[in-house]
Amino acid sequence: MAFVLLLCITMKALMYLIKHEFRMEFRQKYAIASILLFTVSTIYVVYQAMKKIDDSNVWNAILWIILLFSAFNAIGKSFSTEQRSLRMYLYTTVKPQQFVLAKLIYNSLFMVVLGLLALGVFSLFLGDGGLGPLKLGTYILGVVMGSVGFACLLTLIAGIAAQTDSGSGMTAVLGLPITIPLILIIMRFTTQIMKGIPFEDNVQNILYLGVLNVGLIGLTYLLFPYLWRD
Amino acid sequence: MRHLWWKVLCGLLLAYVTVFSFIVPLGPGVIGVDQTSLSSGENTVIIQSYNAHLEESDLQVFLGINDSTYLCTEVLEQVDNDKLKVRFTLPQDAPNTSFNILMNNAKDGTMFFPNAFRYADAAGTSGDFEWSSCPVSVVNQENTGFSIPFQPIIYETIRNLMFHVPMWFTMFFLMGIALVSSLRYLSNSKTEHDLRALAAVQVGLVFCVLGLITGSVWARFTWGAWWVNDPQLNGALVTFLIYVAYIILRNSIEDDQKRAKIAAVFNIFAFVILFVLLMVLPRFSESLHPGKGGNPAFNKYDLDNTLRMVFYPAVIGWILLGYWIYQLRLRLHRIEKKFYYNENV
Repeated sequence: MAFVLLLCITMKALMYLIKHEFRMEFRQKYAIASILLFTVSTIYVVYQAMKKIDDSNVWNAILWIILLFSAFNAIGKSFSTEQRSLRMYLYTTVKPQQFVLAKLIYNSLFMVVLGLLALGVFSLFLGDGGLGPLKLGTYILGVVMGSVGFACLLTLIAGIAAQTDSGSGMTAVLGLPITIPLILIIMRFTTQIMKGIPFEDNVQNILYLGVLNVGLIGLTYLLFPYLWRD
Repeated sequence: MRHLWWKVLCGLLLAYVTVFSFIVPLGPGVIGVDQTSLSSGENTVIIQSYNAHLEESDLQVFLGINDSTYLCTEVLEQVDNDKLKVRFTLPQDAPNTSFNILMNNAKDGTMFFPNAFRYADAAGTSGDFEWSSCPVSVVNQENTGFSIPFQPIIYETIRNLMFHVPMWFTMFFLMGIALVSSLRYLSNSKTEHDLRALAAVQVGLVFCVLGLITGSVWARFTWGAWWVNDPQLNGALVTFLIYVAYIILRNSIEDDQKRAKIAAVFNIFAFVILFVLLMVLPRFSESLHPGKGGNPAFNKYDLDNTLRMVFYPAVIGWILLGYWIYQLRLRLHRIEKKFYYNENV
């Protein structure tokens, strides 16, 4: 009984924190706008440079490069936008684990939306790269899992970078080498979709990605409390 | 003096390894032929060998077709130190197939060169063909000389095994020390553990660079390029980048306590990612690297007592050397810490 009550309180705090993240984001509309602007204008630059991409490998590679840099842009900011007084308030009221879980969930949701949006705009401008409606479902699964992966990986890195004296610019330095395993798995998954390999033979890649994501969430959950207070 | 025993051991092992791996000759073998396609009737080819005793009187050369069928050849003359001219006759109605070369004398044992020639004639039959196999009688199959095993393509570069591979072992050992130190720092916040992690990463990075260089030189001679796109190589480069990022991260934080804590968090996070990258990912992708994707590293050809005699001491010696440098580095950091504290506080 006591455990259920505790769980309810934790869940309530978590839900509150996620709501708080959304509210903060929408209060600073320019932050979302700048990320969207970055993604869309990058896609437009690629469109101006290439007009139409017929090679499915090139299409796939450019989409993931855009998603990678959008993720750095979006999540790199996630700790630096908080005001100091608000942070002091959160220190005294919530546990770091709850706080970071809320961040992870918010970042994942945000990245999924951003990823799907980027996929939509990208195919609008540059064609579907030979993807076709049949493979689109699995490709969307890939984009969702990849976006969640970026969010899980970069949340802790952004937390670390926010503590350094050089701020969020550090996210790229610390994050780029670390994202390579994730990129390798997601690229293998999506290029195999493009080649038309059936989902049953490709599903292990998405499982590896899922296991990696769960591991990253666990690590972030365990390590974040050490970053929490100076 | 008693606590110095392992340093003495380290010096002795590395001296032994260096001398041994450069002095012991490579075993005998066949490295090529002057033509790769055969015609029916009489063929005369020149076989290029390496470190083989061609002057031995009991030298025999066979063409292997499968595990039980061999063709006899006639050894004509030794062209120069390493080259041998042989003659053999292929039957008119021979089927399309490839031939291996087997060379044998009592001193060198059997030297094997796979798929040396192809016989691909339009008139060749494909069904069952009865080769007139020649009786094979050899005195000795094994090389009697004391040598490092001969491997096709790799040849003399096999000596790199004593330098390249232990570099990575040492790096993993040092990065392991760094991981344990970081974990201990997070649990007890003692500056000592932070200094240990820093020293281990610094020395580990040196071994990482040495591993990259020795690997790159080796790749140039065997694969023909300084760098190829390969999971194993990607992993090595990412390892290097991650630990360089660790050093950059440390330099970007002024406050000592904060730096130690954040660097420890990053180090643990990075090590887990590295584990995924180096241990898990290469297992389900193709690789050219020896020991990966079915390429030989320590299979029956390499599981050679001569190589083992040098390889295991090399691993121990390099790890001890890495630990030694790490200790010196750690002492330097301790002295720096003490010096600054005495000055400031």
